[in-house]
Amino acid sequence: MSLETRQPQLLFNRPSVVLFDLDNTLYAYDPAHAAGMAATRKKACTLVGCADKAFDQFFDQAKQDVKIQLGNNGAAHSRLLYFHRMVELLGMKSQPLLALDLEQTYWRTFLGSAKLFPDVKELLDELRSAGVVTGLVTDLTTQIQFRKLIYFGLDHSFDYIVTSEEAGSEKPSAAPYALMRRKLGETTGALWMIGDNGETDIAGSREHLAAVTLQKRHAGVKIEAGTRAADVVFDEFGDLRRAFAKAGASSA
Amino acid sequence: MGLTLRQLATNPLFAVGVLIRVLMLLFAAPVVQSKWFVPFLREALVHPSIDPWSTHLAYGGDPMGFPYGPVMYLLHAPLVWLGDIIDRSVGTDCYAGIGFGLTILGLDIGCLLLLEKLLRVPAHRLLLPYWLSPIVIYVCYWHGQTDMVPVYLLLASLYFLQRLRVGYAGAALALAMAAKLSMLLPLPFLCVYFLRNKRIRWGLGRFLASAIGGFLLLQGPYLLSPGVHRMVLQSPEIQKVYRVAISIGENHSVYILPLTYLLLVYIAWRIGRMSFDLMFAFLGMSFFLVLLLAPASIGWFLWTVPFLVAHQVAGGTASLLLVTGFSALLIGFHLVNSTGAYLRWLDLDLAGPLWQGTAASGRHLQSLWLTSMTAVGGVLSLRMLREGVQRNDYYRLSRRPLAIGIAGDSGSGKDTLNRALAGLFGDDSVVNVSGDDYHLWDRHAAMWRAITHLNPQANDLMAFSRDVLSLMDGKPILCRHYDHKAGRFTKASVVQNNDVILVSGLHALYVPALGDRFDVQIFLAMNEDLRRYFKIRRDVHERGHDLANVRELIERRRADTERFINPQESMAGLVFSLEPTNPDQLELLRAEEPALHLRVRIRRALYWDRLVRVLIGLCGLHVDIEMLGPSEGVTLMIDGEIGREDIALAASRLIPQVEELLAVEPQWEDNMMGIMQLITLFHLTEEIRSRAAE
Repeated sequence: MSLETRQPQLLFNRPSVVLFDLDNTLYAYDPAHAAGMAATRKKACTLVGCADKAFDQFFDQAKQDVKIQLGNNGAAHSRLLYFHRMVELLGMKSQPLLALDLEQTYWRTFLGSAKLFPDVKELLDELRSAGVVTGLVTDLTTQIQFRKLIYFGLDHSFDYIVTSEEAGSEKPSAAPYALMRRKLGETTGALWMIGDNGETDIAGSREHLAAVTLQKRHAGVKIEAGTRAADVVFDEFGDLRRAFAKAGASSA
Repeated sequence: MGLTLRQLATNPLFAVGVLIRVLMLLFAAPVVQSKWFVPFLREALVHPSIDPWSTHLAYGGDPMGFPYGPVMYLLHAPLVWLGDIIDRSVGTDCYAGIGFGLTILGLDIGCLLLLEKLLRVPAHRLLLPYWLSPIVIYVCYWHGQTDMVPVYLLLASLYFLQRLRVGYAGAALALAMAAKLSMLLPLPFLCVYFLRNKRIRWGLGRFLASAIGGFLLLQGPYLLSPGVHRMVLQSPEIQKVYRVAISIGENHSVYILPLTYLLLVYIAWRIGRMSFDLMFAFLGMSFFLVLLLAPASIGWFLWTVPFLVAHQVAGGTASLLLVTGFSALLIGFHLVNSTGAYLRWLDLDLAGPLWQGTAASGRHLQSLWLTSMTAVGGVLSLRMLREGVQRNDYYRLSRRPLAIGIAGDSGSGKDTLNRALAGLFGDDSVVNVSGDDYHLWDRHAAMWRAITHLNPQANDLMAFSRDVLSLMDGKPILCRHYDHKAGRFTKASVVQNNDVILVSGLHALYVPALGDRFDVQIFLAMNEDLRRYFKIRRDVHERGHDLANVRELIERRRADTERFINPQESMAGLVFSLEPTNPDQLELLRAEEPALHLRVRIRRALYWDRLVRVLIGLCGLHVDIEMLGPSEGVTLMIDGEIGREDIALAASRLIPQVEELLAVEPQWEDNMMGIMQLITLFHLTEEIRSRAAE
């Protein structure tokens, strides 16, 4: 439980805008993904009669195929497309019902297992009551990202949301950040970006929005050096709440 | 669990707890361990035996040496023996004791992780109430008691029970009982929990077979051992049960502890169906009261710690302060009166009680202290019970069976909804009352030519209301049944009350005195074309009636429907109306179900916003909202397809601990019937909560 920064002065003043990444920043992605994949694997293996290993192998292949086909785009993360392609690779031609069923199983289990990190909601409430503009810049498809927000009860917590699907390309490219900048309009004061990924969230927002960057650290998160090193690294959102309260006190 | 420990590793409170424990393990040699437990375990290396208790006594060992069962022995032995080997090879006398303490430390961490699962809170919220609990640190690492072993095993048993893995739950309890006989105490409460909770009653046999069978297997052979008789069964610890007594005449006494315990088992029985949380709170309260009413050893108080933790997690600052006050009084009392520890390497002897005087004034002061502790403990017990009752126990909140009334015209889907709801709660928990059983005449009666079933005068509504109210009050009824195939009534039979009363009928909401008593009043106002479609399909194809007669009857009934049935809509908190998405689909004799959308009117409820967010966000349905005004509520038009798994996920999101209310394997339906199940359940829980809040 700590908050580390080489430039403490960055936290002296309250920001006017705070942007967040969603996956693996507001909740731990890996356990939810693992649970979703396990349930889908079990269902697929029962329905199709394939071995676990074959499922994993064909799923990886399908994912690769979709990404090559679609490139750096939100739809390239579509589980529906992955499962659709995987079923084809399993030699079953196109099976829309099966692909949809697997996709729904994945997301249902994923959401059922995903848990918001402690203090996220409280921090967002405090930011909004302090008049700070809040935004979400996230990859993946809009449909599922909105479902996640509603599931977590965060759909009222952000002033602006940008998904890579609507921006046309993923972070760290300029498009999602530029679109967020357009939505925000003219702002004065510091802009914070909170994320988990050194390349997409930290380096991306620093380059395109001149953001003060804050990285959420937990199991599986890589803390990097150089341009991918965040200005602030923190373990708990509670740490950030305290830093924000302190920034408010010194600003006052 | 690995993930939790990794997360905890960076938490300063966890680090402080670890530091305290490690320092105490290294430096403090508790008297009870160095004088009794460790020498007993060491002796097995010198005189190996399958009955170490008898061997211990045969070589002149202290009968107080190890008043515990074989599981406690087997758990502690490996690390003590390892420490003993190190001691012998390097010429020290501390590692065997440290080995004993390390086993306790391992189980201590295990308890923290089990509590995280049991109480469903992140581990960091348990650090203050559990990991830094002065009772845990004092009892385990200063006084040196080994009650952490049975406590861990009891928590493991409850953990499995919460997940309905009853065989494992019984096995873990068997291990706990074989470690320490006092763990027999929870057994009757757990049996009551099974017996009074119909959704899990099936598990009692397996649980008992595993618990008692396992216990006899582990403990049985040792019951023949004279050493076990002397050291375990006749230990002064067991005699404490009889210490507090009221003399009756010159020769007899009433023992307070067994009396209190039996009364608590009875109260548990009278409480009836309990949620897991309420059972957990009740178990804690019972342990606590029993300990307060006996000259309990300090180790026994460790049994109450998990329950005190649960209370603090749920109860906020006041609970934290009360538990802190209680801990201070308890530890202060025992520091003065009980043995402590010898500090290794510092050569400091703090082994004796701080006060060893006999002055009457001192004794009086201590008695006052003990009285204060009992008073605070009593308050804590009552608060624990109150918290338990308030925490999401739908059956206790309503203080009577849950009752759902479903009214609507013939063919509007009452029976289908009734069956769908019964599938959710489980047939074991449901009693059905059908308005059809209260028609005055059977199908062949001439009176039906003059009067329709829809007319209240054709039904014994007084008997109907009286029977439903009796069931609501927990009493059985005597009722005949209408056999739709034969068109006749069966002989009257006794219908027992149950946890959920599902009442459906043409006039279920007709009598206001009855309608007001339902937890949920549902009116099924089906689209007229669709209602005719379903009615003809059912009456002609399922019940074998003549099509022309059914059509004629529908027409004849229309006026009565308007007059007697439809006005009940105003009584209903929920009005469901199924409508065909495509009216052209309503062609008779088609095998497939017509596509339907659902119109729901919700009166007097503020929850619709949460419901809509979940229906759109999680279930991917299309929902139109029409606000009807402050007293009229809201109408939702719900359209789309949804599978039962998604509805189950939505229920788990909308209703905390919904599983307590439902069958072990609730039967959710697909599409609109599933949505009706979901909304009924949500409406029910919200109604109960808001009434409890009032």
